[in-house]
Amino acid sequence: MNQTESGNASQGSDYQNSIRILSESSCLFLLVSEDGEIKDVGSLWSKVTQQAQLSNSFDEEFLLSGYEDFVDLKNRYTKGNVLFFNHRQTGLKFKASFFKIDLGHVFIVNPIVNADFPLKLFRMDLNDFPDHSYIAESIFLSEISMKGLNEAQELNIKLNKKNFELKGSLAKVERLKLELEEFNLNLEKIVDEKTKENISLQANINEIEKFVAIGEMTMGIAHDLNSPLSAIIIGIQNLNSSIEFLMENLVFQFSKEDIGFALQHSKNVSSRSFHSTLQMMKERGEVQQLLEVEKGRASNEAFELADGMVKVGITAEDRMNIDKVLSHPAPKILLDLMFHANIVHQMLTTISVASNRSAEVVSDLRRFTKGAFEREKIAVNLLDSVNGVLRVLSSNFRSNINFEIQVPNDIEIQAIPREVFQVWANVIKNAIEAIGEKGGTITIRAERSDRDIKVEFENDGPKIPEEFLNTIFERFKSSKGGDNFGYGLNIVKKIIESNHWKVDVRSDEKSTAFTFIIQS
Amino acid sequence: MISVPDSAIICIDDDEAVLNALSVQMQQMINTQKVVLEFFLDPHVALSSIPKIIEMKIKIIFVLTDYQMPGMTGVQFMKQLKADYPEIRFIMLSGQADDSLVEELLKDHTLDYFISKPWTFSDLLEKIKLLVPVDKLNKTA
Repeated sequence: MNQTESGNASQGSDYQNSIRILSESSCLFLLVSEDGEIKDVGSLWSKVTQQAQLSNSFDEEFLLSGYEDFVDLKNRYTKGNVLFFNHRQTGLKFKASFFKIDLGHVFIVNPIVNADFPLKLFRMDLNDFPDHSYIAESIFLSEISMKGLNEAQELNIKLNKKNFELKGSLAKVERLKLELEEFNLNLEKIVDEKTKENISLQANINEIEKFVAIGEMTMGIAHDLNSPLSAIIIGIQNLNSSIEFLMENLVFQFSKEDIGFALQHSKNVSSRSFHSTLQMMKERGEVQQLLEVEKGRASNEAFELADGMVKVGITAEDRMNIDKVLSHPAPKILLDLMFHANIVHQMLTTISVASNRSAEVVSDLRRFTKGAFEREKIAVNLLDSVNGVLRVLSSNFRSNINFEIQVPNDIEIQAIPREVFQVWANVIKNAIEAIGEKGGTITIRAERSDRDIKVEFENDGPKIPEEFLNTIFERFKSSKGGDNFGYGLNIVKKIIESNHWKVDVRSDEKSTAFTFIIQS
Repeated sequence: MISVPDSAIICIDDDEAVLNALSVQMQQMINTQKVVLEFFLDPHVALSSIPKIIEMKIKIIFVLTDYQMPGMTGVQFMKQLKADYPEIRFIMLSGQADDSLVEELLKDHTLDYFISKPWTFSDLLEKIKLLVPVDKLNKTA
C-alpha cells in the first residue's frame, strides 16, 4: 500500500486530487481517475455524508449501492477504513477512505495505478490512520489546492469566455464567409448579366452608329434644304402680293408700252432686293437735289419721286430713266408699277436660284446615297464619296475652314457606302475639331498604284501630342474632350479592321495626316 | 418734311435668297422713311457696321439674325453685340437651332423672339408688331 500511495503531501497544490471540508457536517468528495479526470461527485457524496454521520465506519454496501456500473463489486476489498475496488470498465484500481474528523467527514477516492501516479494529497498509510495532524495538513493543502482550483476555474472561465468569444467570432467569420459566398454568387450572376447586356449594348452601339450617320445626314439635308425652301416659300408669298397689287391697282392704268418698259427695267436692275436704307438715303438725296435743281420740282414732290426712283434702282447717274419717269403723265404710279415689276422679277430669280439649289442638294444626296442602304460591298466612286460627306457635313463647317480636294474622279473602291461615309465623316470632323477656331486648311488627296489606293486627309492644325497619337483610335481617348473626338475615330478603326484597310497617322508642327491604304 | 429716321432694324442671313425674300417682307411691313433697314450677309460686317449706325444717333429697334452662319452662329453674334449694347433686342430665325438652347435664351431674355424657318409673312409680322411702334409700320401691313 505504501508504495502505491507514494504521493507527497508537500506537492499537494494539485487540485485534481483535492478535498475540501466545506462545513462541520459536510464534506467534499472527488472521484478522480488516473488521468486526473473527475469521474463523479453527486449522490455518492450524500450517501457518505449520511453514513458518516451515523458512525465512524462506513458500510461499503450502502456506499456503493447504485454504483454497480462504476465499481467492480466482486473484486473490492477493504482494509481498515479504506475501500479498494476496480473500475468496472477499465479495470483501474481505486481506493476510497473514509474518516471522521472534528470539522466534518471526508471521503476520499484516489486511483491507484502504479508507483509513479502522483498521489499528491495524502500519504495513505493504514498504520497512520487516523492521524489528525495529517488530516489537518491535508486540509491545509486542500485549501492551497482549492486556491489553485479557483484560479484554474477562473482561468477556465476566462478561457471559456475567450473560447465563447472565439466561437462567436468564428460564427461571425462563418457568417461572413457565407455572406461572401452568397455575394460572390450574386456577383457572378451580375457579371453574367452585365456581360450579356454588354453584348447587346455593343450590338446597339453598332445600330446607333448607323443612326448617328443617318442623323448627321438628315441634319445636313435639313439645313441645306431649309434655307432655299424658306426663300421659295416667302418668295412666292411676296410674288403673290405684288402680282395681286399689280393686277388690282396698277396694270389697268398703263399702256402696253409702259408695262413693257417696267418689265424691261426690272430685268436690268440688280436681282438683289435688299438695299441699305442709309445708302438709299444718300442716293435719294442726290436724286432729289437733281430733281429740284435741274428739273425745277418742288422739294416735297422731288423727295417723293426721288424715294420712288431709288427704290426701283434709279440713281442720279441714270438720267435716261429719270427723264423717262418724269415724262410719264403719272410718274409716281409708274414708279409703283416698276417697283412691283422689280419685286416680281427679283422673287422669280430668288425662287429659281433657291429651287436650283434644292435640286442640287437632292442630286448630291442621290449620288451620295447611291447604295446607302447597301449591306454588300459595291464600287464606290472616291471623289463622289468625299464630296457627299462634305455636302452633308457642310452645316458643321466654319467659313474659316478651307477644303482642297485633290482626288481624281475615276478612282473607285470596293466598299459598303455607309462605311465609307462614316470613315471620311469622322476623319473630317476630327480635322475640323483639331483646326479649331483659328481656321485652316484640310487637304484631301488620293492616288492609285497597281496594288492599292492611298487616301490622305491632311490638316494644318496643331500637333497631336505623341501620348495621344498612340491611342487616338481608342474610344473616349481625346486630347480635347470634344463630342466626337475619339469616339468617332473608334468607329473608323472598327470599319478599317473589318475591311482590312490600313491607316497611318502622323503629326508634326506643320500638319497632321491620316493616310488610308485600301486594296484595289 | 424730310424726316431723318431715328431708328433702325438690322437683318442678317448668310443666304442671299433668304435675305432677298426677307427684305421684301420687311419693306412691306416697315415704313422705310421712318426706319432704317440694313441687311447683312456676313455677321462680321454687321458687327463692325452696327456701332456706326448707333453713332449716328439711330436707335436699333431690333436685330433679326439667322442661327447658322459662316464663322459664327447667331447666338455668338448676339452675345458679342449684347456685350457692348445690352439693350438691343433680338429675333432669331432658324431651321435648326437647338430647341433647348433657344428655350434657355428666351428664358434669360438674351433672345426676345424665335421664328423657325421656313416662316410666313404673318409669323414675322406678329413678332414685329410686338417690337415696332405702330407709327413706324406701313399702314398696309
